[in-house]
Order: sequence, then structure tokens, then C-alpha cells
Amino acid sequence: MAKTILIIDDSRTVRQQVGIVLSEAGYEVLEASDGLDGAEKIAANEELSMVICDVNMPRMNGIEMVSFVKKEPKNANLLVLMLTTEGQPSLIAQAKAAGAKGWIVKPFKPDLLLATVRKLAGAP
Amino acid sequence: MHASEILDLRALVEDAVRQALPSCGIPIGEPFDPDDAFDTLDTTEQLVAFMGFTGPVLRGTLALVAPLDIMRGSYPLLLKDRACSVFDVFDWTGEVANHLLAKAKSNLASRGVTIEASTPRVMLAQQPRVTRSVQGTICSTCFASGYSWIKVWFDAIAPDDQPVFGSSLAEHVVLSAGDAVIF
Repeated sequence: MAKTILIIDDSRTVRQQVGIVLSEAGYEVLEASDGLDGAEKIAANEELSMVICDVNMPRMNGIEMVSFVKKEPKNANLLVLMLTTEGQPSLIAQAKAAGAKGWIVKPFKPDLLLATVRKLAGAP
Repeated sequence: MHASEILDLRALVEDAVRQALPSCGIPIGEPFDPDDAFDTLDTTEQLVAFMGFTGPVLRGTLALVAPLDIMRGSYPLLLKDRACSVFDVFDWTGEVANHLLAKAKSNLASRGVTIEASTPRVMLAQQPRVTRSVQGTICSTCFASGYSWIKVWFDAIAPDDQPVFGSSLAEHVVLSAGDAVIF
């Protein structure tokens, strides 16, 4: 059974871009449109191998979402990769402190995204 | 805001445009004053993306105005084989505005100015006009793109009794588009 990755981004275009890269590589893909939707999907899907998450989103931003879901002990080992237009050290430090495992700045290179996902989550 | 600060702010925004738009597949030429473009009756459909921002000193709005055809043409190559509705292009235009404001935010942070951004809102319009809210508080620019132009308004207000720019952050190393870090 293929590994499942949740993509959280308020841009449908970005969700599709990332989804194409991951599904063509053999991963199963789920989508969420903001941090709150993402937290709900994480709670409802216990078999997630990884979450790829934007930062600037309505309702709940990506770093708030990571902090929120990491309070649940069952999510302690959940891999979270931030994928965002932001590149500031202070935000990256916040994401790391919240429990994220990596950070990629958009626009992303498909090969680099896939290599990062494989390094963190393993092959599909 | 002092005149020199407005000039510096404008340079930061223009630099952000020069970096952000080409990275999103939108070629641009040299900037010129949008007032020069106002007199031309342009009946093409334009997409207008707005984002608000606020911070301890600076607050305002970014508006990106671009012809629908240019935004459709820059829609990510990865997705071009798939059906692309006008709403997909709306979404993409919001993402481009997000890239642009993120770059401006990084440029401002390197000068000691912090801002937080809203999420984008995109509208379709013909002959959109943007008024100057308060004289002297607006940073506006226009870039040629193909046979048309892309306009960027960066309305920014700051208190008159305190400087906009703080001290540069020596350790401020910002990641750029395409960079990746694993913790």
C-alpha cells in the first residue's frame, strides 16, 4: 500500500502542482485547503506518512496548525514539511520549534521537492 | 513618511517585483510610473489581486493588476496539460501576489521592518483604476510585460514621528525560491 501524504495549501493550483509530483512518484495524496481543514484531516487519517503545509493561510496558518496537531501525542512522529513563499529565519525557527522537519521556498523545483519527501518519508 | 523613505520603499518593492514575477514565469521589463499608463484605454480583462499587510510601523495594501492573458500564459507548466478554468487563473494570480508580497516582506525584514500579510483576494475587471488614498503614502510602479503591462501598487502608511527603517539585521539570511532545508 502506497504512503499517503496530506497537502495543505489554500491555493488549489499549488495543491495540484504538488499532487501531480507526488502521485506520479507513487504516493497517495490527500488535500486540505487551510490549517483548520488540515488539522481535521490529520485527526481523521491515522495512516498519514507526511504532511506538506503552507504557512500563510486563512482560518489557521501553517505554523499554528503544526503546533496544534503536535500537542496530540499520537502525532509526535508525524513528519511535516513546510512549503511556502516565506524564507525568513524567524519563521523557519518557529516552524522548527513547533515540530516541522523541513522547509522549502516556493516556487518549488519538482525534483527537489520529491528528493526532500523521499529523504524524510522514504520511498512510496 | 519622509520622501527618502518612500524612495527606498519603492526600490524595495520594485526589487521584489523583479525577483518574484520572473520566478513565476512572468517576464517583465523596466518599471515606469503607472500614471503614464492611465491615459491609454485598455479594454482587456484584468485580474486584480489584493493583499493587506500590517506591522509595528508599516501597514497598507499590495495590489497586483495584470491582464488575464498574461496570467493564463504564466499558469504553471506542470498543470498546463490539464483543463485550466478562469478560476484556476484567479487562484494562480493570488499565488503570484503571495510570492510578491513574501519577497517584499523579506526585503523589508532585511532593513529592520517586519510585516504580517493577509491572504490574497482576486477580482476580474475591465479598465480598473486605483486611486491614491493619501498623497505621499503610496508606492506604485508599472512594468512592461509583452505587449501589455503589469501594475503593482504598494500603499504604505507609517507614523510621521518615527523612522520606517530600522537597523539591518546582520544575521538575516533569507531562503530564496526553490531553496530547501531539512531540520
